[in-house]
Amino acid sequence: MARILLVDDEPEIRIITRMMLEKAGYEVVEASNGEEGLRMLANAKPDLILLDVMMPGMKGWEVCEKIKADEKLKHIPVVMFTVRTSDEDIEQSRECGAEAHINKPFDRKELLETVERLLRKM
Amino acid sequence: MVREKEATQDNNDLMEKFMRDLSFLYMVTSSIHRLTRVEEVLRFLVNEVTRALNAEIGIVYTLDTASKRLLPVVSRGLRKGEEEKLAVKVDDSAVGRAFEEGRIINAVAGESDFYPTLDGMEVNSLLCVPVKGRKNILGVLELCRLHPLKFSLDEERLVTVAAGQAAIAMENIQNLEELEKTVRELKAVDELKNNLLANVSHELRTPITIAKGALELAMDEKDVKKRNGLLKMAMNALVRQNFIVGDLIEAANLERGKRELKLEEVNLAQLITLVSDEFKPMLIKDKIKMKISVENCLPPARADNKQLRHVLRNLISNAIKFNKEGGEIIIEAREKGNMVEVCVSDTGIGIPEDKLDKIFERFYQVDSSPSRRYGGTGLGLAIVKETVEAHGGRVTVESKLGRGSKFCFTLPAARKEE
Repeated sequence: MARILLVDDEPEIRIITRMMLEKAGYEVVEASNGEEGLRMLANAKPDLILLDVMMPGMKGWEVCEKIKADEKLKHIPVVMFTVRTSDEDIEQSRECGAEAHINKPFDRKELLETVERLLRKM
Repeated sequence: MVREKEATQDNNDLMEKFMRDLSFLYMVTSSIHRLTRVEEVLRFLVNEVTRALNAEIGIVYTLDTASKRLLPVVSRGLRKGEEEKLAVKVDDSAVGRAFEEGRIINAVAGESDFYPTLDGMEVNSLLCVPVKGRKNILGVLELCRLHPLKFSLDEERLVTVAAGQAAIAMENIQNLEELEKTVRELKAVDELKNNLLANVSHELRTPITIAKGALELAMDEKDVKKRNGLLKMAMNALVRQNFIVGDLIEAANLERGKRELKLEEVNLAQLITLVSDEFKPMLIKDKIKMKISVENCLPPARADNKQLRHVLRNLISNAIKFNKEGGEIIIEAREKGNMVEVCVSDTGIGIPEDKLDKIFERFYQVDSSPSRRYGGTGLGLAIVKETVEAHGGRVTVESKLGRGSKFCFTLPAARKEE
């Protein structure tokens, strides 16, 4: 069973996203900000990271950069998961090395398909 | 022959003097407009003119609007400490009259216009020239000689032209400064509006994301209890969204200057209970306790019910948003003279002292960076202030960083007719 680290500061968004992912058979671990997410990576060993952008402290893009700069972590696919939906925002997700960008509000189908596609590639 | 020679000599002297004056004026006009500060302009004027006219002392006075006195701003030839002692009442002395009447005063000791400003100094000749701007008189240039040698008409003219150039330079600098200030302010407003747009779209999309996700899950949830939980979550998200939309509409109305107050008697105890009930789900979520204390026999407020409700909502929603988990909110209402006062206090993060006067500005947020911790449009408190003031009341705030904030507002009490 693949494990997904979900990093988002909005508790309700974590609840619904977790429910969708768990129903699809994934295991979910949660962090409520970027720093916490980074700290959890070593132990949680997730197969994929769902990363919000607008969070207190470190922004999601910055967290993504740190992951992609780390030899031990950079193989983990990162999905930016955000209300920032402009072309520049999507470009920024690409630049930080994220494998995918999902706009919020999102469709369950889109979320699950993206996650599945990235995990299959592994 | 001799006479002819003398005439040529006179002509030559005249020409020389004319050339000297012209080159002086040329020097003044070509230099003075390059200066970028008002004080530099005045200093240049006083130095150059005093030197050119062989006066011992030169002083420029400008009007201090608060004290209605002419104060020296720059001077040349004064002893140390002398400048501080000079303050001229507008209607008193030659300087005062030159300013008041806008005319040149040129007098030597003994003449009726001779009212020296400098006590205890052997001034025997003075020339006061108003520094005339386009609309009003900006100040007075005073030149003093210790000798009783009267300033000539030519000298008067020379000083008048130089002072006129200084006035133009001063006004140009002031206009430029005003223009720069306006541009800076407009840029700040523009940036706030851009921030607002980014913030608003974030603020609106987050509850939509929650509601949409919760409804999608509720649709194929068989367990009734779980489904109701999801529906409630969607509902709360939409309530949150509605607050934001309410703020935006209210702000748009304010922007258009549209505000009609439907004044009626509002029972504050009822309204406070009603509004605080809307926030119950959020209080439970953040484990925040809310206490309401309304004075007995509190007279009703004379207010627009709908707008007052919006004010209360904004203050309570802030008190929750900026509170800590397990914190407390106290809502109090009491009579205060012929007003009623409502206070909302929280035990939250508080507001830095230097930000206290800014939080009521539209679009202002203590932290407006995109990754900021606290959401919102930056409109709530501006709406609170403008609404309360439209009712004839006042909003005040006290805050301790890390300890909490207390917002109070007053409204006119509706007195019972006797």
